[in-house]
Amino acid sequence: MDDNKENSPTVENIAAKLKNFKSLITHVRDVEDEAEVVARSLSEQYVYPETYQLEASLASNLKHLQEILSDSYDFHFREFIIAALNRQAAVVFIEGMSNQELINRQIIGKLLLPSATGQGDKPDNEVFGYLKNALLAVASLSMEDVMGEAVKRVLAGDTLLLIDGVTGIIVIESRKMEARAISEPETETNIRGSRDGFVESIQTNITLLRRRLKNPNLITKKVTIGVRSETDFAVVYFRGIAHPRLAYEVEQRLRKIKIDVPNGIGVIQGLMEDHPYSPFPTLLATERPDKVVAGLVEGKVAIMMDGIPFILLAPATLSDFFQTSDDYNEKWVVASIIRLSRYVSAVFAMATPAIFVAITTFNPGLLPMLLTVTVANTRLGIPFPAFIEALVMIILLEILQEAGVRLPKTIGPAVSIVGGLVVGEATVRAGLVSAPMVIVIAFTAIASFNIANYRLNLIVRLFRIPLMLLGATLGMFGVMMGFLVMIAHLSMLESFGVPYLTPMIQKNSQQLSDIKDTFVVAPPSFMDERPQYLTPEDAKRQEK
Amino acid sequence: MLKKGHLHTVILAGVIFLMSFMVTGCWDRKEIENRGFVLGGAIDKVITPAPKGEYDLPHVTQEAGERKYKVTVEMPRFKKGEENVTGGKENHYIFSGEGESMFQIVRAIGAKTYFSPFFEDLQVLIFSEAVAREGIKDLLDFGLRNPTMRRGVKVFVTPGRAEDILKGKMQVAEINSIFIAKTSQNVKMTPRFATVTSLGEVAQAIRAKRSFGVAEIVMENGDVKLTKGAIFNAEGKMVGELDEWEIVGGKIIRRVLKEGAFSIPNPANPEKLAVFEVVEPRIKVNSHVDGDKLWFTLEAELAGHLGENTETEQKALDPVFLMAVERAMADEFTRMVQVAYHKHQELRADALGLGSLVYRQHPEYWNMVKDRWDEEVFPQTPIDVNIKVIIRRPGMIS
Repeated sequence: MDDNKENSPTVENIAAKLKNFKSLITHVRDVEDEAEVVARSLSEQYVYPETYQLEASLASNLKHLQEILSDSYDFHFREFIIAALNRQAAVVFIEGMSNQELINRQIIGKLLLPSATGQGDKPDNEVFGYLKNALLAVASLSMEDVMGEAVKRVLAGDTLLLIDGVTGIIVIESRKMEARAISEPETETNIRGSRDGFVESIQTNITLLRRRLKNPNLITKKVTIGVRSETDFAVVYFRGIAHPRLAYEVEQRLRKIKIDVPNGIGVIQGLMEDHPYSPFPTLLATERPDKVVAGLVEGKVAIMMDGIPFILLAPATLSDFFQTSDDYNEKWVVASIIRLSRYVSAVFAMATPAIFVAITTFNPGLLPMLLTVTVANTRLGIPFPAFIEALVMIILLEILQEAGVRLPKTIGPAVSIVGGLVVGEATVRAGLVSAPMVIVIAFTAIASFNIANYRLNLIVRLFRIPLMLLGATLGMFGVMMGFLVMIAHLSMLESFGVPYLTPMIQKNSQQLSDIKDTFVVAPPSFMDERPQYLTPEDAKRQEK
Repeated sequence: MLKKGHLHTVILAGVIFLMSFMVTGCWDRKEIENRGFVLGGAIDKVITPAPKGEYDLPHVTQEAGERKYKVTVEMPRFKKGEENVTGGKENHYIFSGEGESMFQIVRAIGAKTYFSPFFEDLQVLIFSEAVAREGIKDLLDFGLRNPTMRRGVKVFVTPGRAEDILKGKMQVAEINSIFIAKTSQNVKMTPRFATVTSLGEVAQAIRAKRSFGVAEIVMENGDVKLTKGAIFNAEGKMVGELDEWEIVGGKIIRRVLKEGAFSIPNPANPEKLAVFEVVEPRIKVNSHVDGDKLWFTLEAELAGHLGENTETEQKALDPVFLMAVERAMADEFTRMVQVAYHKHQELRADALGLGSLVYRQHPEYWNMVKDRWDEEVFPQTPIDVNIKVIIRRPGMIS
C-alpha cells in the first residue's frame, strides 16, 4: 500500500521530486565553484620576482612583468617606438603612484621626438648612455639588472623603461604620492609651541626635522622591514651627540625584525623593546617634530616609519612621559608647577578610588572625624559596598572614555552629556551610588586627563582596578603594597641600557644634574648640559 | 614566549597573591555607615541595680566581677541629607551597659547593634566624680590596651552623672561629644578654665606614679562649662578640686598661663575696676637645695596692657596710677599663686609638676625624697613668690 502511494503521481510526490532535483543543481553549482577556486589557486601562485631573468627581448620582459603583476588593474604599460633609435620600447608604471605628467612629457614625449642629429641606431651597450645624455629630461634614473629590484621600484612609484635589445631596465624616479597636508598634532596639542605635526610620508617627516636642524651631522639611515610590505623605516640621530653604541643598537634591533607586514609602529615598538611584557612603554612615541628635535640634540635616536605620523624616541625613561613641549615655552616657575601637578595627577588618577575604598571600609580613623560623619551620612541606604560602587563607576567611566575616542566627533558631546550628567546625577538621586563616590570618580577622570601623555594615561587607568581590589581586601596596607610592587617593577625596567627611573634614581653623582628637567623645569640658563644618562659624545649644550 | 623558569615565577607570584587574599581575610572590612563611631564615653557608678522593664538589657553578664560601673557611649546617628534640614530626630545614639569589665561592657554594647563600637574617633571620656574618687587607674587599662583608642582623647570629670552630659540636649545642634571637644579648644581664651588633659597624659602620669589634674565639666540648660580642676593623686584617685582662682595660680606655677584678663579694685577709686590683660608672661620656677632643705622660687614678669579702666576721671597715663595698678595686680597674682600652692600641699598631691623640676635640677636630692614626695616632702616645701607686673600700654582715651 505504502509503496504504491509513493510512486503515484500525486502533487506531493511531484513536489518532492522537484525539490530533489533543485538540491542536485545547487550541489553541482557548488562543485563548479570549488573547481574554479582550485583552478585559480593553481594559476595564482605566490610570485617571487627574483626568480625571473631579464632578457634582451622586449616582448619576453614585458611578458614576465605581466605575469608578475598581471591581474592588478592599476598596473599599466605602454609600448612605443623610440624615434631617434628606431627601437621598440615600453614604459611600465603603477597608476596613482607615479607622476603621470612626468611620464607623458619628459619620458614618452621626449622619446617620440625624432633626433636632431638624424636617425640612426646605436649599439645595445650605448643605448642607456645615449638616452641619459640626450633624450630623457629627468633628474634621477638608473639601470637595474635584476628583475626583483625593478619590480620593487615600480611598486614604490617609479617608472620602468624597457627597450628592445637591452638586457636591463631603466628605472626613472617618478614617485608622486598623495599625502595629507601637515596639520596640528591632535594627540599632543599645546599653546605656545610650533603647530606642525608629522604626517604619513616619511620623506615629509624627515624634511620637518631637516628644516629645524640644518646640519650635515643629522644622519638618516634607511632600514626596510616587512618581508611582504617592504616598508621604509629610518633611524635618525645626530652624529657627534648620540652615543654611537646607542645608534648602532637601535639599527641592529630594527634590522633583526623579520615580520611580514609591520602593521603600525606599535608592532615595531613591541618587537624592539627591552621589556615587551611590561605594560610600561620604553619607547616614546610623539607626533611633534620639535619634541623629536629636542630628543635628537639630547642624544636620543629616533625611529621613523613610512605611513605612520608617529616617531619613536629611544631610550625613553618614565620622566619623559611627563614632559611636554610647552614646558619650555612657559616661564620655568609656572612650567615646574604644571609638571609637578602631572606627577601628582598620575598618583591620584591611579589611586584615588583605591584609597577612598580602603579608608572608608578599613581605616576610617584616617579621615577627620567630621568628614567621617559626612561620608557616612551620604553612604546611608546605598545598597552596594563601596568597592562595588567604585568598580561600577570606574567601568562606566572607562566605557564612556573609550566611546568618546571611537565615536565621530559630532556624537561625542552627546556621550558626555548622557554619561556625565544623566548617569552621574541620576544614580545619586536614585540612591544607587553615593555622591562622594561620584566626586571621587570624576576627580580621578580629570586627574587622568592632566597626564600629558596618552599612553601613560592608559597605563594609569590599567592600574586603577587592581589597586582598588587590593584596597578592598587589605585596606591601606594593600594599596601601599600595590604601590611597592609597581615601584619595584619600574625599577627593574630598562630602555636601551638606561634604567627606566633615571634620573629620579641616580646611578652616580654625575647624573645628579639631570634632575633639573625631571620633576621641575630649571631656568633655561641652567640647562647647559645634555642629560648625562644618555652618555652623549658632547655634553655641553650652551656656552655660559 | 615565557621560559620555563619564568613560568614558575609567575605561578609562584600568583599563589602568593591568592594567598594574600585568602589568608589575610577581610575581618577589618566594614562599610563606613555600618561602623559605630564612638565619639564620647561616660563612666558612672551604677545607682539602681533594679531592672527597668521586663528584660534587664543594660546588664552585662560576667563570669567574675560585680555590677559596678555604667558605661555610656555616644555614637552619631547618620542620616540622609534631607533629614538634616528638617531635623526632628536626635543626632546621636546612646547605648549603655552595666558591669565591671570595660571590655565586656563594650562587647555587650556591640552585640546590641549592628554597628559595633569603633574607638578611633573617640573625642571625650567623662568620669563621674564618684567613680573618680574611687580611682580611674583600673578603668584606663582597657583604653590603653585597645589598639584603636587614641592618646589624644580628652578626659573630664563631672560632679554629677557623666551620662547626663552625653544625653543632655545642647543648644547647638551638634553631637554632644563633638561640641565638648571643640569647645575645649577654646580653653586658652580664659585663664580660669582648667587645662584639658588627654588620655595619653593621664596614662603617662599613672605609669610614672605622679599626681595629675583633670578638668571638670558641668552642663546646665544646654551649655557646658569647664570650671574646676580635679586633682588626682599618684594612685589615680581624685582627692580634691581646685576652684577658679586656684586654677590661675596653678597655671602660673606650671608656666602655662599664656593670656587672660584680670580685674582688681581701681586704686584711684575702690568702687570702680581696673582690668589688666596679660599678653607676655615670663615665668621662671626654680628649686633650690641646701643640705636637707628644699625650697622653690617663682619669679614672674607679667607684661601686658591696661584693658579697662572704669574710673574715667583718672588719667591712664599717670605713672603714679599705673604703678599702683601694677603693684595691686602683682599682689593679686601672688595671692593666687600662694592659694593654689597651699591647696595642692593640703591635698598632698603635686599636680604642678614640681617633682619633675626637682628631678631635673637636683637628681641626687630627688632620689632621696621621691618615695615620700607627695605625702611628706612636697607639703613641707616653701615657695618664694616674686611677681612683677608691667603695663606696656595703658591705652589712650582722649
